[in-house]
Amino acid sequence: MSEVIVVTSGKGGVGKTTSTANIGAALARLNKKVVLVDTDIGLRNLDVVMGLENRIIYNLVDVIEGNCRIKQALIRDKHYPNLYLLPSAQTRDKSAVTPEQMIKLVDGLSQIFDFILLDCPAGIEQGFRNAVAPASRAVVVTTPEVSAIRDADRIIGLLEAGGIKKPDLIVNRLRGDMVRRGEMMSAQDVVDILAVNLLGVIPDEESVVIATNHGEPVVGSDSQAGCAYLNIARRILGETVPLIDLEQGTSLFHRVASIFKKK
Amino acid sequence: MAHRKNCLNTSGKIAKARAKLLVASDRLSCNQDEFCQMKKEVLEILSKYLNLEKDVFEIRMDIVCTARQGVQDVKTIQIK
Repeated sequence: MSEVIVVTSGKGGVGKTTSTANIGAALARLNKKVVLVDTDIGLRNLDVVMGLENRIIYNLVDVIEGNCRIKQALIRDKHYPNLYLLPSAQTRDKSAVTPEQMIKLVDGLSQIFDFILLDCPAGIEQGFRNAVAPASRAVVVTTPEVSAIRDADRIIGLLEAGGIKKPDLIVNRLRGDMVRRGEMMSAQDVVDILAVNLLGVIPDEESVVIATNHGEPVVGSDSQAGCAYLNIARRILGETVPLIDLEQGTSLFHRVASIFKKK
Repeated sequence: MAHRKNCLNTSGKIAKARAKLLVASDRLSCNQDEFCQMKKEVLEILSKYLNLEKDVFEIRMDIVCTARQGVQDVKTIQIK
């Protein structure tokens, strides 16, 4: 039986899709069979983040409407042979699918995979309800900003009302240098406000932008963000992994070393 | 002293205070002024019966759970 996890946030642009792709890659790296489902019908993005946009033939709506079999719509990742994508439809909208149909679809996938990650659209409307319906676990992504935290709290309330009792939290785009200067909330500050389990903290790093530009996961590269996503996957698997201390200053040696590494 | 004041009013601290107040008033679905007023009044009532020093005690109010019972939404407010 597979584990079904929805990645959600409420607010748009905080890094749901990037987090879904990288947690998926990290789980696949740890030898799990993983499928990522893009549930954002009408605004598909996960295929682009994974660099698989040219390989789409069938999509989620095709599977639900019976135009193809599930296996025909699944796209294998370029890097990890046990990572698959079920892309969303670009020409339809959220009303093309119901929560019941999503549950049935995920039931079909759970025969094949260890982990099913559902990339949720922004907002709290039908797209959100579709994505959350089949999930037994939730990962809420937020950034250390007042607006994102407010939306995350609303989402946590909705998830709990929907029967997902203990959502996990990812604090994305944390800048250790700004936290040290007191100009940004720390991950602990965010946890104090939202009172949920912290699954991981992702630093705001160039490496994430660069990897996404290439349509590749940041997992597997020699970066703090990649390492943080891998740690998140380990924690999802039940391991106890300490958080990387992002608030510690980087030493002159590390900075010099990273300059040479880039070349 | 000036340095200390800076530490207390960094934008990170301000953001945390804003987020806290916002989340609390969202959960209770009342506006922020009402929420602050309610906190003040609860503190007044408490200090009427208990021997509290107002400037020492801070009231933290939070919804613990929202459970649907019958047709009504029940909000449990925990005061720390």
